[in-house]
Amino acid sequence: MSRRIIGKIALHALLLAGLILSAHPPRLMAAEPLPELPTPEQQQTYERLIRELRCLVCKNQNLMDSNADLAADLRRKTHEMVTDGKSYGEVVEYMTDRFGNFVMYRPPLKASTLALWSLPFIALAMLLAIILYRVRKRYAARPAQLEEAERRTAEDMLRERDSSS
Amino acid sequence: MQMIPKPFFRKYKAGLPFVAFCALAVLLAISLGKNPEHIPSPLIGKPVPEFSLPDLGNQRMVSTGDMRNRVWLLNVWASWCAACVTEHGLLNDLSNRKIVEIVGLNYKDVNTDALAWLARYGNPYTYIAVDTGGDIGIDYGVYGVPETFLIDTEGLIRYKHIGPLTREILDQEILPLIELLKERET
Repeated sequence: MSRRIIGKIALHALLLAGLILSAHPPRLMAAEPLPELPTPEQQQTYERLIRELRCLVCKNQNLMDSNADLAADLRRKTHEMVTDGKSYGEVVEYMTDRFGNFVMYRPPLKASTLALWSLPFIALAMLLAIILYRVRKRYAARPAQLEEAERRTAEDMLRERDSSS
Repeated sequence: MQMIPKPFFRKYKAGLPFVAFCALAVLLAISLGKNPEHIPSPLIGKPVPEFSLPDLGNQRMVSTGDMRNRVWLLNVWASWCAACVTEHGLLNDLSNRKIVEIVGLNYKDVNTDALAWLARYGNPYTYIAVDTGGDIGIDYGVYGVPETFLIDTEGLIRYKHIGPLTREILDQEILPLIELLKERET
C-alpha cells in the first residue's frame, strides 16, 4: 500500500477516536454526596450503578449527574441496597422490574433488543464493505505495469528526446 | 459486441442512496407518531407491590391487604403536583358515581398541605397512604406524578397511566377494563 493511503487511514482513525471521546461529556458532581460505603468493592459497585442508571425525569442524565429529586431518591435507594450487600445485578434487576429497561443506559442483550445491538455492527460491516470495494476499484483503475522490454523502450525514447533538446 | 449483464450491485448502485433515504424516512415516520414520554411499565401483569403506610388524617395504617379481592385504582398524587388538579375532577366523579374504589398514594408531600389540598379540591379516596420519603413510589416505578394504576381482584396490576387522566383515557381504556374485571369477579 502506498504511503499516502496509510497516511489517510491514520488521519481518519484519529478523527474517529476524537469523535468517540467527545461523546463522553465531562463529569458533573452530584448535589449531596452520600457517605462512603463500608468496603471499596461496595463503593465501586455503587458508583458503577449510579453511572449506568438513568435519571428518568431528565432523560439524558444518569443518576450521578442529576440534581432531580427522583435521582436523589434513586441514588439513596441504590446506596441502601448496596450497603445491605446487594450485588450489581440485584440492584439492576430491582430497577428494571419497576422502571423498565429504559432505566439502564446500556440496554440488556435479549431477543427484543437484538436489532438495537446488532445495528452498529451491521453498519460497520457495510461501511467496511464499501471502503474495500472503492479501494479495490481504485487499484484496478491504475495503469497496468509495463513489461520489462516496453519499459526499456520508453526509457530510450525519453533519453533520446532529452539529448535532442 | 456481446451484452454482458452488469453485476447486481453495479447495476443498481445509483439507486442505493434513494433506497437508504426511503428506509430512514419510514423509520422516522414510525417514531414520529410515538410519544417519547410514554415508557411501557414492566409492572403490568405483576402483583401489586405491598405497602403498609399511615392513612392520611387518621390514626391507623392502610395496606394493600385492605384492598384484597377488590378492583381498585391507586392514584399517586401530591399537593405540589400541578397536573394533579386537572385530573382530580374525574376522580371525584368516579368516586361519586361509585364506579370504583380509589386509594390515594400521597407522594413526597407534607400532611397539612395534602389535607388542605383535599379540602379545596375534594376527596375521592377510600384510603390515602402517606409516602413521605417516596420509597413506595420507587417500588411502583413512579417518576411522573400523577400516576394511576388499576389493580384486579387477584392483586395484579392491569393498567398504568402516567400523567393526568383524561376523559378519553377513562372512557376508552380504564372504564371498559374495570367493567371486564368486575364481570370476571362475579
